[in-house]
Amino acid sequence: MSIIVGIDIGNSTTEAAVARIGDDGSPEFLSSGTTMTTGIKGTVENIPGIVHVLEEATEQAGIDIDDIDLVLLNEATPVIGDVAMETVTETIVTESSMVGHNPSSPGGKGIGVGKTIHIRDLEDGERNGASPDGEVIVVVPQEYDFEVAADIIRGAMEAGVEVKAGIVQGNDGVLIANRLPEPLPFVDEVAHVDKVPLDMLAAVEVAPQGHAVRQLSNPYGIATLFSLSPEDTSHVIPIAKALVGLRSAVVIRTPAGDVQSKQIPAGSIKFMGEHQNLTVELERGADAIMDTLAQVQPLSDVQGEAGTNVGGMIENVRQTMADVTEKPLKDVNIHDVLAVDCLVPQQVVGGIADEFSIETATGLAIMVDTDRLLMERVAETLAEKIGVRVELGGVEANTAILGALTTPGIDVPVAIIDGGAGSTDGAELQKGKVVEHVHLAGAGNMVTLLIKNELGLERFDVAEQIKIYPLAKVESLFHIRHEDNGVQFFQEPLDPSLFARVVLVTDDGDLIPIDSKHTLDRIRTVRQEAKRKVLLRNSIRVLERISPSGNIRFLDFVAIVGRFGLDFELPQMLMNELSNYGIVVGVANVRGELGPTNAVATGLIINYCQRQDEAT
Amino acid sequence: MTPNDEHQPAVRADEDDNPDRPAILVSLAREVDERLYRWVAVGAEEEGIPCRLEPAEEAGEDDVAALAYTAARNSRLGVGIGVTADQVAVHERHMPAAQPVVAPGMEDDSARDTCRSAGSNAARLVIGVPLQLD
Repeated sequence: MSIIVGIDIGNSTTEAAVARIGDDGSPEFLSSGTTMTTGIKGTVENIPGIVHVLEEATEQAGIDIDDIDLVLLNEATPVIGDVAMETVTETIVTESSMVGHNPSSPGGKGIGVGKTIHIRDLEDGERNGASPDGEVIVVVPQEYDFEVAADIIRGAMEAGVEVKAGIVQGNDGVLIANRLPEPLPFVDEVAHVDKVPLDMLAAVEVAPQGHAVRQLSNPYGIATLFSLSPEDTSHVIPIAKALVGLRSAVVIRTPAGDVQSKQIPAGSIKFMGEHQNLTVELERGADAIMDTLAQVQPLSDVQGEAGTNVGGMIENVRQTMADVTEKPLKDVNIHDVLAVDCLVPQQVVGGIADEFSIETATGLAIMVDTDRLLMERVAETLAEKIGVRVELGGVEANTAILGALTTPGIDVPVAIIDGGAGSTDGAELQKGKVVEHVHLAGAGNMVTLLIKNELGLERFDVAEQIKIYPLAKVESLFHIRHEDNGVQFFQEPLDPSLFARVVLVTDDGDLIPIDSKHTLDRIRTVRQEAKRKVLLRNSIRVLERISPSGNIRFLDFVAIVGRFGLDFELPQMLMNELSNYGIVVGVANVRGELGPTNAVATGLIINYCQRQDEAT
Repeated sequence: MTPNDEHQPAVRADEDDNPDRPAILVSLAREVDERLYRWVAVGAEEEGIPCRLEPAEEAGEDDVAALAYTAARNSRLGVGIGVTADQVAVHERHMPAAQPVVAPGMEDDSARDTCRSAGSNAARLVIGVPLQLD
């Protein structure tokens, strides 16, 4: 009789299973534990996390670490992943020719065209009777109180100055417009109002509530207002494009003013396969990259074009892994790549009102081969530290499938999808033998990266929370509406800081407000699309690779293990997708009680018992 | 030039005092300068919601929460504001009487900003926009 512990070190969590092996060689499971992985998976920095989970699990089982006879680690955790993102387009405004943004409350409505004039000059003009000629657009910096500004503008209008619109720095657009004899359009909250060039022809448009600007988002509309030639009209297309969908906008006609939308040379990726090499430009997008990758399979390495963004990105990953594994750079080979297209908000270069434009970007998840030596080092260090024998016990995906087989109602042949933070793994078991296993780049961390960038969030942990918790909108001080439209009432008033906000609902029912202007629908779409583009796509890729014929239809049972199974919506998304292929797919329930977690740790122990059986 | 802090906003020509129209109601304690109401009104105007001065009832008029609560109960929008010499409270009719939604203290030199922000937050309660809290 002996006590053994299986330990699974993942990119994000470290799990343990403790079992007593009876005299007949069968395991009796005593307890399990989970903790956060410390350091990069497969390095000696993992030891503190391992010791922590050992303490947790042994305490639960009512034993000491000294009572353990053997610790099994998942073998040669074969892959380490990293993610990165590059923008491939950018928008540049020169000479401050455009303002376009969505202040919460612009004033008045309509379109005004005239020459820009500082309110100071309007005031001086009133005083010395030298009023400006022609139609003007007044520029009002913050230091002019709305009442003062309204008085000056009203006075000028009464003196015959043709004021047509205004550009305001403070949040005073409505207040100024309300105090004028006729309602003129006022764009407000223009942060860098001092950058607006004066004495230049400009057009201001404020759309009615619920509408977007029409004239200034139409190239011919701009041409009409400024009497442009056909050639000039072709130059205002980027301006019109940048203003689509906004509530208020200003276009200023300056001699050299221009808005450019340009492609950033992002570089190319060279895939080196065992049979052929192919190169693809990053800017051709994710589909072209993935198609090229499919053509060169089996893949032996990947290189990015030197001196370009993608080159730097790929070499960075290689360098990190070389440092971690202490292997020479040339021996660090890239094993798989997942490319995903996304649209990211980027601050407009040279903008006046901190405008954002939506740019195209490509996200890459990259996976690097490591080797058995690494885990052996972890095992040795751990053995020294705890004074217990430590062995490597089987490839991760294969042990995961053994763990998954403890799920009630499951049978061979079976395939598993084991998704975590760094990689999406899969394996297939037929007649008691594992026939195929794969590790693919891109999993939970890639989803978090997409959410962070597409929503323009500053913090990674906020994106992580958006990934794992469902959304709700606080509709009153006493009720919230969940993203599925269900309403929840509270007997005690909610914190006023939550009022009207989009919040995340944690498992404990706590509400976390999201600090961004995005609507619930937008956040939900981004979250689900990110999961579709990475997790769903990788799950299909896994199944295609492990299915003996490459055809998913030949699989019967698929079990989801690991963190994918814990996601609140991914199992349903997968089920919807795979039911088209006639496959039974569901979340594993390891040992009938642990859900999708602990499959590898449990499988390590089962694998050990099977090996003992074979040996006798 | 910098605007004078003593400057008070003028009454707008289109101001509507019809007591039947829905509005945020504002009650001032007796010793409070009535000009502070104008700043509350400016805050609400910015968000596009009308507000109206409601004479305070006699009882408990030094209690800022009670002032605001009575105003909220009488408001057809269910939102009221109470102003005393040193505090402004924004109340909503479903809240417990003693627990205003927000009730910032008020210093003499920042009274106009505090009042304007209270007016703005009261309007935001009506239109369902996140409050501006410091």
